[in-house]
Amino acid sequence: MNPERWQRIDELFLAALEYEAEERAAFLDDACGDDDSLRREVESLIASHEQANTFIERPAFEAAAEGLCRSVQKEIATQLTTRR
Amino acid sequence: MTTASSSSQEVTQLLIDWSRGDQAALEGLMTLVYEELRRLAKRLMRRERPGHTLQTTALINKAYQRLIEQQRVRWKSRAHFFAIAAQLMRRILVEYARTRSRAKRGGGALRVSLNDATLSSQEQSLDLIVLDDALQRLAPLDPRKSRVVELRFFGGLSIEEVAGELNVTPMTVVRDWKTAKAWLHREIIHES
Repeated sequence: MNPERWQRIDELFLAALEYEAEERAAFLDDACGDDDSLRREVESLIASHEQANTFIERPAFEAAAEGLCRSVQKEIATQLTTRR
Repeated sequence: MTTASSSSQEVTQLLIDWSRGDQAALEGLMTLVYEELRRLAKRLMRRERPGHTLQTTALINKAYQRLIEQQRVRWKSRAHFFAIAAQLMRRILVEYARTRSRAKRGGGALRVSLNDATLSSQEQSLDLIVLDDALQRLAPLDPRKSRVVELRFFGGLSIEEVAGELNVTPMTVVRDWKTAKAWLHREIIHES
């Protein structure tokens, strides 16, 4: 994708989010005209935005530390049982 | 690793080597940082009841920051330091995820929540390796957005801190983050 195209998608995506869901279609009709692929691209980003919620909102490190703690916990549990 | 101070000196040297392009230093760094974290985690887990991971996470996070804080004075600038730290964190976590995924064939890979509301569901969690791949595809398309994600998600920086590092307004970071997040989420859903 060329940089101008991407910039346009980015701008329209952010602008569309400023509209209420029911007004969005009219905005996109106007902004995209008959460029269907542009519209599909923007709409799919909006759909993804609506599903994303807390996706990547917590730093990776926190999630990783929890995983590490779980594996250490298991290890300690194994050590304790084998010692008995 | 014998004492905290010797490991700290070692980390400093390895960080400097790595920032100068010595890729082998990364392996040494990963080993040291993970050994340190495992040591801390073990010590903490022995005191805490199983399941009480939240407090532990906060403590480990603090320990990591302390480890990194000590090195700060040596860097050319604060921005340079943050960029290196975020990259290092990304490499460490992704490499660690790869190692575990090789060792356990899938089940052991580090996963982060796609959506906290459905945290319990395995399908709703995401492999860091997949995220890293998607972020690598974002970089040529939009270098600044990929840096925003690296600094925020891997470096743990706030919107304001990222704005300071990248020399843009916080509003620009908010907008970049919003688009990058939607784009990455779409990429990852398509892949899984």
